[in-house]
Amino acid sequence: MRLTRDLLSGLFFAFFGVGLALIARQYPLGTAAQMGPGYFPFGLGVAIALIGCVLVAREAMKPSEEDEGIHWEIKPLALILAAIAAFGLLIESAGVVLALVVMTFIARLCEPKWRPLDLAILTVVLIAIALGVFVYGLRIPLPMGPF
Amino acid sequence: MDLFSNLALGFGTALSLNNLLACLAGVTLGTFIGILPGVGPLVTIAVLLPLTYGLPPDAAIIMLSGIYYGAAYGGSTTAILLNLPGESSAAVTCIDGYQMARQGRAGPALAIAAIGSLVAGTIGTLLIAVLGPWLANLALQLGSAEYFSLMLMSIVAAAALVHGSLLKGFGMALVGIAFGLAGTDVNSGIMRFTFGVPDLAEGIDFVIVAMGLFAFPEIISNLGQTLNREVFTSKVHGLMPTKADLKASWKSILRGTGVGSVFGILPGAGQTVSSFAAYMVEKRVVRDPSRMGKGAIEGVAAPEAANNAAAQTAFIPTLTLGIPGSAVMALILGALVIQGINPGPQVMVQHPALFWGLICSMWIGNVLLVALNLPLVGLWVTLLKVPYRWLYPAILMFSCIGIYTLANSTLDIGFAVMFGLIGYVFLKLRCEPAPFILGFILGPLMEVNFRRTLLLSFGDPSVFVTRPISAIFLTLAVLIVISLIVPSVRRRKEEAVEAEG
Repeated sequence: MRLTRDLLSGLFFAFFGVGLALIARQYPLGTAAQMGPGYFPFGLGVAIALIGCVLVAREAMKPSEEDEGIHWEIKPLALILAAIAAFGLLIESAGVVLALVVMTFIARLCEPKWRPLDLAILTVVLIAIALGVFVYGLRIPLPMGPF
Repeated sequence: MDLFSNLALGFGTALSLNNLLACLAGVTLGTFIGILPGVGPLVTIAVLLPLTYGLPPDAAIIMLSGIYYGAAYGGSTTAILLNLPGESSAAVTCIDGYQMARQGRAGPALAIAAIGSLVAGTIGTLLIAVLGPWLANLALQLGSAEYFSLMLMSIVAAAALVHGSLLKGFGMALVGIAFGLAGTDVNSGIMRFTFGVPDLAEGIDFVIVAMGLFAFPEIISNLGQTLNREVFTSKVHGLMPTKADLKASWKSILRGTGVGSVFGILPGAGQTVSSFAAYMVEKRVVRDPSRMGKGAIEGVAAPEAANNAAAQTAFIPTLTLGIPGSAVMALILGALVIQGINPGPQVMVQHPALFWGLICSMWIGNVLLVALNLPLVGLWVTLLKVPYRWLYPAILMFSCIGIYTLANSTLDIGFAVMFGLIGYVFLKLRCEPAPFILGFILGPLMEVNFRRTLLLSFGDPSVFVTRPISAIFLTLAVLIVISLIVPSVRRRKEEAVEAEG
């Protein structure tokens, strides 16, 4: 069976819906007239799971035509998420300036051409804008680390 | 007359220095965003939301709105000059606008686009001023059953008008609702779906979801392909349209405004569908339709008027009913709520200065935009040369710091990474994030209203169809679903949505 986008989406919905319903059942369901915290989410989970099953069934019977297969861009995905994560990890321990330096560096690793001067100027400008807008303009304190 | 005193209050608010600056900042940024392909108003508003928390509510909303309708103006500039819609709603303008540019008539095309947008903006603003209070009055008669049905209809409409099957879109909306439910249950006080994380007591911040689902996947995806933006500048002479141009376009402008205003109010439909619909109307109605597609000025005037009218009237259901019709409106609604303003029938009574100030500033913004876009066209086109390798780190910087400042929490950044990953998977699977964010924002409200309805009816669900207004909304939702089964309607919808790219 071809792994079309709709098939994978349907599988996602099916699993998500079932999971949601199972977790919801741990909360008191109550009755229709006196709904507990679990009632609405349970119904929701069932509905989502049903939609997922219909999608999977539809795809199994007549796979949708796709112009192109799914093209996962692993390198940008990993690098951008790593850049954001690095910022999160560093901002409180090392301050916003260093966090931005590391973040910009990792993010720019996505670029095919290595342009050190370009990167350096960009980093300085971004730090300047960041401090100007947030710290001085909006008066929002940011952890400054060693600075 | 009430309207005059309200407008007086509005202009008084809108013309204060702070708000004027906010308006100017918003529309300028909006034009810039509209011109640049690869960055849209939705992403921009999501990224700038944390910044606006520091501003007073009127200034914040005025600026965010300015970005929204300003982008429509910018998008048409590149659509006409470069056959490149910077904004999806300008895609239709490319058809005749670029042809006019190739015939050396770029100036009049740009001028008519701007004038049409100004006229549409003026009429749209008047419509809000007139319809808003009337609708708010009507809304006071809406009970929990009606609200639930209306929200359900909005979600169905939003799910229907995106790429892909209605089923998938609706599934996304439901998943969005599920995520929206995470947090403390208002009724019982227990924590749902928080998995022991105390920071989730208030639920997931919608700004994080918006950035994770819209901003980050777009960057990742853009980096995965080579962005081709060859810029050849065609000289723009003679901005003034001829008398014949004006005579030919005024009817198109009015027709476009009509179409746009209607589509703008409807939930789900947005600017793109409005401009497409307006173009289709022109093709039917204009004398000698064979001119369309070859540089007919009606093909520029109508869509531009439509998308601007839609941008203005989209605020009506958001402000008066508290029901956002699109993802952008959902974000603006969220921004209002954070500022302590609860959109709904009460907003005009509780915050008249903000409501009328926003309306008047929309008109002022339209005027500013004409001034910005026409004489400064050359400047904007050169800005297209900003390399993406400078833009995306900037977007990341604003996003990361913005997220951190929400609650001084690095955990929030962790959530952003998580949603970034989820959002990217959704993008690859062509699961549309717009219905998701609508569901996310409306979900908790839907549950509250659903619960209250069944509480009051002692568990009897038939009350949703026996109460007339609720029945109407539900019927409309069903009609939308049925209409998409009809092949010709489905084809038209795919065409309109394809234009979004």
